[in-house]
Amino acid sequence: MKLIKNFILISLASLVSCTKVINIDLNSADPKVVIEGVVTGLSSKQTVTITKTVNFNDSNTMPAVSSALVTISDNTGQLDTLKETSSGVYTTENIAGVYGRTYILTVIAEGKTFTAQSTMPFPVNLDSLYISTNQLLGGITYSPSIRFYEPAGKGGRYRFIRYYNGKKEKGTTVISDEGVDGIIIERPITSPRDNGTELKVGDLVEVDFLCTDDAVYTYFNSLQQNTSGDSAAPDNPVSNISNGALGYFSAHTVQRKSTIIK
Amino acid sequence: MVKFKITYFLLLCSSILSLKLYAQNKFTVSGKVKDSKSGEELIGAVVMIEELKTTAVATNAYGFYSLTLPEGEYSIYVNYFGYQKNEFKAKLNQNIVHDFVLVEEVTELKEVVISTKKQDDNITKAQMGVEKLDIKEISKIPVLFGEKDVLKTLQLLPGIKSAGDGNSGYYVRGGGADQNLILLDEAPVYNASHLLGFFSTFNSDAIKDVTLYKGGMPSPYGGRLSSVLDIKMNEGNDKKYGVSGGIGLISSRLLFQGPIVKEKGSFMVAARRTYADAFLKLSSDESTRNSTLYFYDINAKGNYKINEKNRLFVSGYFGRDKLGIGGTFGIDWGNSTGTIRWNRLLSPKWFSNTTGIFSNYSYKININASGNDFTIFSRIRDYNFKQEFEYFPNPRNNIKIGYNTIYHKLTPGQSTGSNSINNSVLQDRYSWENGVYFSHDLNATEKLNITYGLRISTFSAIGKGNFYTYDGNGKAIDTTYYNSGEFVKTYINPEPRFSGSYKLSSKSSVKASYARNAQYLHLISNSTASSPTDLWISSSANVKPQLADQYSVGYFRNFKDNLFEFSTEAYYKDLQNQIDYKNGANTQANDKLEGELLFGKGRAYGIEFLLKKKTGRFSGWIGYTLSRTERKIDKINNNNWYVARQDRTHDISIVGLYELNKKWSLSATFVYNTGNAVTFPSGKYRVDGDVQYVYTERNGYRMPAYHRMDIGATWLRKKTERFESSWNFSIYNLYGRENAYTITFRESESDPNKTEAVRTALFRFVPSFSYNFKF
Repeated sequence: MKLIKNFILISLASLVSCTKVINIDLNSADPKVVIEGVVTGLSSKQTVTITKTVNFNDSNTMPAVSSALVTISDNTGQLDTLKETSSGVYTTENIAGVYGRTYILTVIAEGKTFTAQSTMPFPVNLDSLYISTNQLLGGITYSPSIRFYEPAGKGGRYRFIRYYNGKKEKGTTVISDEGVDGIIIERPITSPRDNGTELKVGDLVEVDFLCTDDAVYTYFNSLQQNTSGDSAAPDNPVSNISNGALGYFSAHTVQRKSTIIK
Repeated sequence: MVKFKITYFLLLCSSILSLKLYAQNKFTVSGKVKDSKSGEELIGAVVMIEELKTTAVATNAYGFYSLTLPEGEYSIYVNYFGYQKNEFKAKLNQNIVHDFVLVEEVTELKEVVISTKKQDDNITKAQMGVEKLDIKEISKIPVLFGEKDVLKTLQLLPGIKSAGDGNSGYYVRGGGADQNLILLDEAPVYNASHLLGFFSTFNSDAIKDVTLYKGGMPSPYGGRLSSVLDIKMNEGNDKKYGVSGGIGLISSRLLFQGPIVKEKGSFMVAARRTYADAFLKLSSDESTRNSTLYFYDINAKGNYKINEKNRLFVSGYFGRDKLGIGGTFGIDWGNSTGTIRWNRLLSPKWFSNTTGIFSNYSYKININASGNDFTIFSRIRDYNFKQEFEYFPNPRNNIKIGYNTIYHKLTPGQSTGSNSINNSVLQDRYSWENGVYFSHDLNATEKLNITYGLRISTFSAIGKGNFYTYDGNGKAIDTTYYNSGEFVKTYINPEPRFSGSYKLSSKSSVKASYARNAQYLHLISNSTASSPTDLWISSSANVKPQLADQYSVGYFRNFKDNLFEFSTEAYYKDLQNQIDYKNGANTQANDKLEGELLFGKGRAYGIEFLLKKKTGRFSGWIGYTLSRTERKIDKINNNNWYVARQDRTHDISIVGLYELNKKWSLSATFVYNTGNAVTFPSGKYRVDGDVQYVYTERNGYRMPAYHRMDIGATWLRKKTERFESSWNFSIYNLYGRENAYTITFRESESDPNKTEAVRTALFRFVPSFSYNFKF
């Protein structure tokens, strides 16, 4: 719908519409804890980052939360306490992500205990990453597109992260198998957020293909909806972390593919 | 209270019965009231009796009246604003049929007629919360791109609020945009906007009468909570052929009308098309040149008088919007409606109206991107049958009894792709909606007028299809399959309606009303802008019907011999089973969408003021509304009450029309309203490498206040019996106020370490002109 609206705005109202940066007096809120925890099967190094929210008019440097107690355990009885390797960044090299295992994150910080759990799904193979071209308003546009076979009946949840010329592109794309279970999924994965970086011939496009559990899918799906700009009622994404922390904890598989635009 | 109700009811019954007792030698005079030039029936014309000052009846929606009086000689006359008084001497010793043919008043001020009602109708009628618009009046009021628009004009009245620039949706007394019943010749219109809301679907050339009920709806109407917009199309001139039209900056209109058989039947065809996309052809870019952006619509109506007692009407509407970007993306959507109506005069006192109605709304999206052909199709289809009897026992009573049945078929979305991938089909949903009603208009005493009635509505979700049972978290836990025609869930709702007026003096009255409404079809949207693809869902075991109880009181006063009308109405509305999406709802092609919904309640209250000057060289009105609209939905805003998006504390509109001389008339409008309630971030954080925003409360902020002034001028270039032409000039948003269309938040482009708010405004100074003609 964003496309339609943009089109209407461009074609009908471009002569008269105008965009302006304005000042809005936004309330300040008490800082909240933000946790981003990831367990992958790529290596045994797992990272949890803890920061705090800032007011809208502050700079984009989010304060780190140091000296927290961070542990990751799994349903086989492994448990490890993560070390703060730099301010607010906690890591371990003792936990390897294993398909089918459920991981539990516990964070004690700012006098509160936050917990989350996430199950690493079995991997699905991404067949191909290719570039599709569209003749759109103002010339050719390039969209990274993917194709993979979605196994039937597994409740597949997928997430894509794009890197253009080595730099992470804003936003993420999530796909669920609801309504497309057990078939070949083939589609562009451009994010509805922002207009995105424009790709051109010679650009390197890399895509991380993540298989996640349903809670992580819900988190990114709601994150995406809330940042799409025309949401009638934006809200904080639905987090899988308890006790009011923002952020998520995700155990997922990662597969990377890359291509160069010709 | 109960006792009072019973006594009251008995009183009403006895007032009907008692008439029987005195009914010796009574006769009926009945017939139609028509315009002399076009033969069009006049709705709401007041028929009065010289000898009985307090007796008067108004013509119904088909221009029919019936007066039952004791035997005697009377002079009966019709008063209809803008027409010469027409008198008829009746010797009533038998039943008489008499049609009044009214001649338009030819005065300089004819064009500024504001109201067609009886001059003090607003005081005497029981009905409150009703707005009537005159098409002549609409043509004077300046609007965007010079395209006169019924919906935009209605939004200048108190209690009826625009959803904003580029949006023809409207909110009535705190209700949602989907809670308005829009009827075009009795056929429901599901999407009343063209070009994503920049225009409404109603071509005002083709419209005869517009009535909007914002409270105390009479019982013949049902199915929506907040308002009823009843639009009737022109019938066409049954005496001579005529052509009228207009050529504007971005659209043109043409209307053709004439007799089928002279004075027995007539037809009218009106069509409209925009050519905004002509500008796209000027682009240097090929795909822009190949893009389309237009709409067209056609209104057609025909009627034929079979004999004095039977008359047949056929009317239809067809409109389509087409939007395409190169060959890559296309969407088209539109409504079509069809109505067949049979008016029958069963006796001089009984009038029957039988109607068959078809209504269709659909959209289709084509995507041809990345070598992937993809189509999404969605549709709502209604088959509707109505039977109404209207009974005129005597001038003090008017009774309507009726039945209405609708079969709905909702096709929520079928996606089909060329290479059989990404196909998905959502189940069609079938339902059956019924209503039986009676309504009684009673002139209880010279001072007390009441209208009361009851509507009993039922709604059944029916098979075939899979129906799901959900747990408290919206997870489907059970599936049941129902066969075709099998009942899944039925709801029954009695909807009492009442309104009454008490005349304090010849110049003032007080009124009160109560209405309960039930709504079984719901529009679900999670975007700020109305979109043709917003989803309609029907009530089911999980989605209960929305209910509203509205209480209102009002004071009406006319000044200076009815030159000025003042009214104030206060209302309180209690809403049940309101619907919203869950946070992070999965809305795309989701067969279990009902699991993504949240339910709650709402309340709306406010007070409206309107001061209107109806006649004279200068006419117009000032309207002001003070109101509040709130929702309380499970799991939203920590289960606390919050203001609804459409809540507007203050809303002011001023309309002025001035007749400069015979050739020129000028107009201006000014609107001011508190900005919509919105949710803005109260902080930010970083996740996944991107800056994200923190939200603390639902709708805790306000958009900046909206205000705008528009001006217009009409130059009557030529006016003879045979040819009339005029030019219309207007400027929309005269002083270039940059009203916020959206406010979004982003990482600053100049300083990536900062975030900023960005306001997008539409339409600053839009000048336009159009040329109109009639012969």
